Amino acid sequence: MRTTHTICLRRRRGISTILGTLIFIGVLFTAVIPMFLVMKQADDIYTRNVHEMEIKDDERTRENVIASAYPGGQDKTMMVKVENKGNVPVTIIRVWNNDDNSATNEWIPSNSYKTLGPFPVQVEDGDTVFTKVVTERGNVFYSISGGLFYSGQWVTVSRGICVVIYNPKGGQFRIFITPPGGDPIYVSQCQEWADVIATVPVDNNGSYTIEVQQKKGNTWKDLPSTPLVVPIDYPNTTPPFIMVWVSP
Amino acid sequence: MGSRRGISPVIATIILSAVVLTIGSAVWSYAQGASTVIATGYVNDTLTLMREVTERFTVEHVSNNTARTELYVWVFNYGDVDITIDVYANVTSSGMHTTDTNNPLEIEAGGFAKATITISAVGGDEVAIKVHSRRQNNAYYTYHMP
Repeated sequence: MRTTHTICLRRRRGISTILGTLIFIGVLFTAVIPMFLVMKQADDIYTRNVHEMEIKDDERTRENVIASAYPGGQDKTMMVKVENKGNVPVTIIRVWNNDDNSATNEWIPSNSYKTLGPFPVQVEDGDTVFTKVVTERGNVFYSISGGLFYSGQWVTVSRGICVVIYNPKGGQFRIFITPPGGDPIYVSQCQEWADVIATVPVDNNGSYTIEVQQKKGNTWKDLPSTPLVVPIDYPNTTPPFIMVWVSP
Repeated sequence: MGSRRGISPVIATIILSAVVLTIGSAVWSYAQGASTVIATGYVNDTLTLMREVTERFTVEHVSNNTARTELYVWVFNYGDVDITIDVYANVTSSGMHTTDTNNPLEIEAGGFAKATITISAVGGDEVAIKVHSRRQNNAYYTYHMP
């Protein structure tokens, strides 16, 4: 009888151990593991957002917009030609003319351009208008045409063409713009190691042929994208000042 | 007597089980509450940190009135979270000026707003502008007083 009693007690003694184990497992599965899952999810959200912002920051640095403002005729309005020279599309959300801003929402694909406006500007005689555009990613690009002077009428409208040769590897170049004439407007005297910028005023509207050549050995060879024809039709369809980018 | 001999071990087992269940429930309840508090705190801290590192704003435009007594600073919030900012302007000739720090400027995500600072300046002054968000981020701009 004594032996049997001891066995019964030993069997019953395991109940609380089992209950304790069950409670421990319950706590583990209902409190600790969900807590870790929630914390892990918060970490994932944080990491994902940071990664998204890194991508946005990268896209922001890759935005490259050339804005050129020009008067919209003789009235007090301003046109802005916006060229997207970067490799990401941009959205222009605001255009500033001095202290006045105009909201817009123009999406410009990479290597494309749009003409925005006309935007009304508040100018008096003797005022100068500075124009800049703001992109959705927070970049501000100033007009390359600088301040436009108003004196009863816009005084800036001399027509011109500016050729910029992107020159990362060095080279010797010459540039022709026809008409008028056909003489080179620019000839490198020796190897150039920086970008070449050559500007020439033109008198009339018309189509101008631009030819850019690079010296290879003893011969001049056209760069891949030239000759090209650039129309100037100010103030109807184009700005008075045209910029052309050429890359060897 | 022989039939009552097994009662006390049974009672002892019931009492022991009840004690284990009570203590276990208390531990369980405490653990759940503590883990909820810890998890909520961690998530809130993480989201706060996330908003801090994803906050983006810039000074878009600056101008002044003709008397040079007011400086206007347009701030563009191009990030994904709303911001609350104070604007500081350090003028060469008159020192530091600021917007009302008790009434900070709030700008929603994607929006822009104008902050007005009362200053004292003369033509040619350089104005160092700092936009300081309540999440401790800054944007800087230098303005030359016309």
